[in-house]
Amino acid sequence: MRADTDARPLRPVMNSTRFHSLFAGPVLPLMAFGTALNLVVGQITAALKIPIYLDSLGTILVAVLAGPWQAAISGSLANLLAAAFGNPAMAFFIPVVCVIAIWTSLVARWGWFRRWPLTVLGGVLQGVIAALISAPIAAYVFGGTMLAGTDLLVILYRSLGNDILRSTLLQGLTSDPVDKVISYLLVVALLSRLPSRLLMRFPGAVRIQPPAADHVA
Amino acid sequence: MKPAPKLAFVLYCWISAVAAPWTLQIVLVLTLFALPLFSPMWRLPSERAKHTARRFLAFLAILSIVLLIVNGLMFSGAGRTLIVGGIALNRSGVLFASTVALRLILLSASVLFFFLSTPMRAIADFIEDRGLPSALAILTLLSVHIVEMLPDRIHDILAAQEARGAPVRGSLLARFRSLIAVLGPLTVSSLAEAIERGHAYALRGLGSARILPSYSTASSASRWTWPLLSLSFITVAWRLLAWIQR
Repeated sequence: MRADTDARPLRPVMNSTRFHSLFAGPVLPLMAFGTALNLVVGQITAALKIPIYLDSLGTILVAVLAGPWQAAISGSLANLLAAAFGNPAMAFFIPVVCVIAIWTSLVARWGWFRRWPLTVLGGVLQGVIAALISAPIAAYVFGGTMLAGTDLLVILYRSLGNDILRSTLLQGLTSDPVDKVISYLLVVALLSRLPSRLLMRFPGAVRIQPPAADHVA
Repeated sequence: MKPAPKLAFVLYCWISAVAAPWTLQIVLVLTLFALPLFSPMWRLPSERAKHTARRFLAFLAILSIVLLIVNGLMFSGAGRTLIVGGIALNRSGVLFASTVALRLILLSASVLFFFLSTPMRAIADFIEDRGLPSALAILTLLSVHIVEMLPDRIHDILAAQEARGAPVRGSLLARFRSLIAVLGPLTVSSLAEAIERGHAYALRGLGSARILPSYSTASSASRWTWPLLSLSFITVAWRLLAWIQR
């Protein structure tokens, strides 16, 4: 019994079985890993001096291996924690994360991750969608300045006579498809090297690897 | 430590950042910066939190200056020019940048001070107390744990791959290959750990089809929560009314 219990009536906790099934098995720890990966992958790219962000790598991984809702929750939590760890701007891009989760899950469901040209196409489209959603946020909330390397692109487009919204949109359309294509290809490269025994514990693994013929036999 | 009134204040700050006049926004920003000094509920509990807050304030200051300069220089359209330190800035651009910077400070500072002054354990308790699924609380705590653990693992893998001859300081293409060499073991170890933890959680009944009924017994609300929520509602209603009348 908790110390602060008093005469208030008991309140039933939201215990939807369907909701709980989202976190069944290894999915909950996978979501936590996806959240952490989103936050720390920047340290790896910085250590290797690679000029890309890959800040949605964890979300994409969770979307492929678990599903859209799990990825949206994991990605949103990553952005909230990024806000807590000193980058409050990230909290405003939660809608972008949710769209990345849903789109990636659709791409995985359509089997696009099994063929690399389709993976590239999925990444390009993902980048365009992400740019369309993030541009108004970057323009109206942040005035087009995020203190990131991509700000130079915004300044370049503004110096060419574009307004803020168009400049942030053009910046997103320039950088996001490249970042998302690399993220998609990285996820495929990582998952294709994993042993099936490990991968098949996750509900979305069949979207990456078709069931082997010897398993059927 | 009850996060409910603090969350209500954060919500009010967010709504005011979008809907309230700039004078109220300035008052709220000053209140936000005073709260950690005078209110025990908002006090920053550790040196690390204080360091993060200082770094954040520096970040906001630089961001505001960059916003002013970029918008002052790049704002299209005719307008009066301000000369600041020998640089000619567009007056409309500077005004726009000031509005954005004020809104940004209010939005960001409220979120940051909330997280810095509230222990993660209190947030997890709050999630459960409000009747939300315990899985969300576990996910939050586990994520924070992995975030603290992962950099060490990355460092170990990076050092091991470098010792094996991975070209971590070669050309861009070579470094990109090293990225896969680092991410591969990191993903394998993390997925294996996820499976093990998944088994442990399943043994404790998490994600089970049959869930034991659980009850929340504590109310996290305080005397500040409802007035702040009402203020947020009034601000939205006032703004909507003004918009309709226009």
